[in-house]
Amino acid sequence: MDADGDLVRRAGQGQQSAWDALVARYGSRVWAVARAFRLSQADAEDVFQTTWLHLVTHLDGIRDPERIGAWLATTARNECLCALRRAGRQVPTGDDADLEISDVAEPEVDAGVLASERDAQLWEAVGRLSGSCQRLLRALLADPAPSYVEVSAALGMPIGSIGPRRARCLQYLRTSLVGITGST
Amino acid sequence: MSQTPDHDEADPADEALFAELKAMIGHIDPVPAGVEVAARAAFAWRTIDAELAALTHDTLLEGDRLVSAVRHGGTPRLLTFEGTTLSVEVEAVEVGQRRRLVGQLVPPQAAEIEIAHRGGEKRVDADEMGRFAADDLVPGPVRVRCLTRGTGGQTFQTPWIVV
Repeated sequence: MDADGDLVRRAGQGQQSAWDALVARYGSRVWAVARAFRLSQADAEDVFQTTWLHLVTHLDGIRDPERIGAWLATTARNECLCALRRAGRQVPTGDDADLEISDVAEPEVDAGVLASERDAQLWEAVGRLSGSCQRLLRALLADPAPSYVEVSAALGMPIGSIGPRRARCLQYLRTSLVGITGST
Repeated sequence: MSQTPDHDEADPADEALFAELKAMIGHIDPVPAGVEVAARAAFAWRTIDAELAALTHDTLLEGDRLVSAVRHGGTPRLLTFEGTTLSVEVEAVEVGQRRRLVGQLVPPQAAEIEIAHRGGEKRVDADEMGRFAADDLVPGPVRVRCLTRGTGGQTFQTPWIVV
């Protein structure tokens, strides 16, 4: 697989295939950031599109092309904060790790896609978690998985806190699942 | 891949549950296909000839204002973009399901204005006073390009802004 830095440099030289490879590699992660901020479908789509447009604009000026994942995560975060302001929602300042974003639109989920009973149970259990757990897990649930550096950039959370918080949130989730299913 | 997930808390039960979550998200909330297509197409907006102006002021980002004027019908959102020799002040107005941009070049001068938006590219003229307006823009990311007409006409563009 091509290194991130090579893809950024080749895209900067005008190579569409390198650009497409970046979108394929990081698309799920950028989308996960937008969803982690619990944006509506329309706002999440604006964040996604605008993040990639910013990268197009700045392709030649990326200081550290190997860290393009963190650059995209930071850019997506900033766009999410703008989207929250446009929607008239409270916007965090500083470390928002413990912020509960209130008055949010749940991502709309079509009941038809929760065809599997297990998916439905998991979805319900996630919905019972705190806002900060939901946000962290959603940011982590991208494919390919984001690095903790990227998650830290996306959520404004210290890198060292991500592993322990992830473990705690999964523990809460397991407890919640027991309440829903009677077993994990 | 240069970056791999950090599994510093690799409890097998945690990882099994996490894998289930990841599969669920893959089923119910993947990147929408149309959105990914648009991101690939975004590459066509690459320009290498224009000076990139800096966003120096945006009433949306001011202080503790929590409510966007554009979405809630109060005072319009005002943005200022500055380049080395040219600036543009833009007012973004919500008009039903569309957006209207009203702009002012500083210093005032005639120019060709190209506004890129979801619906394509709209071309309007800035008059001798540097004023321009564009209606019927699709909400979402927009970018303004100015091609000045004076000697050594220059191209100047703003960053993408969601209106």
